[in-house]
Amino acid sequence: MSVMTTVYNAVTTDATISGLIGTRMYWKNPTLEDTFPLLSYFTADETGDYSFGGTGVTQEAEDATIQINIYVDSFLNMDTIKSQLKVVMNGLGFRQIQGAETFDAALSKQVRATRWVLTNVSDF
Amino acid sequence: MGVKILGMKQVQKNLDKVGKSLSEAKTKGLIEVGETGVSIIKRNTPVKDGRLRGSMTYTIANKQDGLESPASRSDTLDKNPKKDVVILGTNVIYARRVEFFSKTGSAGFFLRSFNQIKKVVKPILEKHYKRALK
Repeated sequence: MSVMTTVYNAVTTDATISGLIGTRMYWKNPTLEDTFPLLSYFTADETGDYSFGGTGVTQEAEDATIQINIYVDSFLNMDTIKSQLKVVMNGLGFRQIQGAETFDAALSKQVRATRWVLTNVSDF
Repeated sequence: MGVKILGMKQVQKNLDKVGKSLSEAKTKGLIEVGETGVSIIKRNTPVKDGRLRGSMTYTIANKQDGLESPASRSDTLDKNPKKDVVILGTNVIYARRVEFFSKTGSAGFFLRSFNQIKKVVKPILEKHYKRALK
């Protein structure tokens, strides 16, 4: 199973998070018509090169960085989702590397970006 | 009975010389990392009017380079006085919004640059240290 699918399944089946967002975890951007709170996610970067020489071409380990945005109406939901998201992602072996928060004027919602990296990914 | 070691002054002098050339090599290496890093960031920076891309600079030892029009001096990082630290980036206020919240695929441009820069740091510094030790 790919990393993205694993993340989606783990987040949307977590009781605390799904109690707030249901299965509203979308790839890329939410729209005004959506029900909030919700999550959006996408690949921020994937790294890993091929090295040449020796016995031939070998692939180095890949790192996958996924960004999950939390869109909410209430700060209380933001804190609950964020802290539970950390529990779920850490359980999958991800660690958080960056985060930022802003107001999405187009959707009129508070949004928090969280970035998670997983090293030595085999299926991305 | 005792042992007298001669020439320690010369040894100390040579060690000081090596230490100085390694320190200089580090600064030169970091300047090259800065130049290469800024070019990598600029390749990845999304362009609308060019202000964000033009503002990408590096700074080390009170030197700052990389600024391009239409960005202005106030868009750049504050000068960094340290000789053993190079800082790359921008001071443009909307940079963070593009990096994290762009909905057009530009989000993560700085992260991608950072991951690419990480790979060039070691070979560049190695090259400068080897030259210094020749």
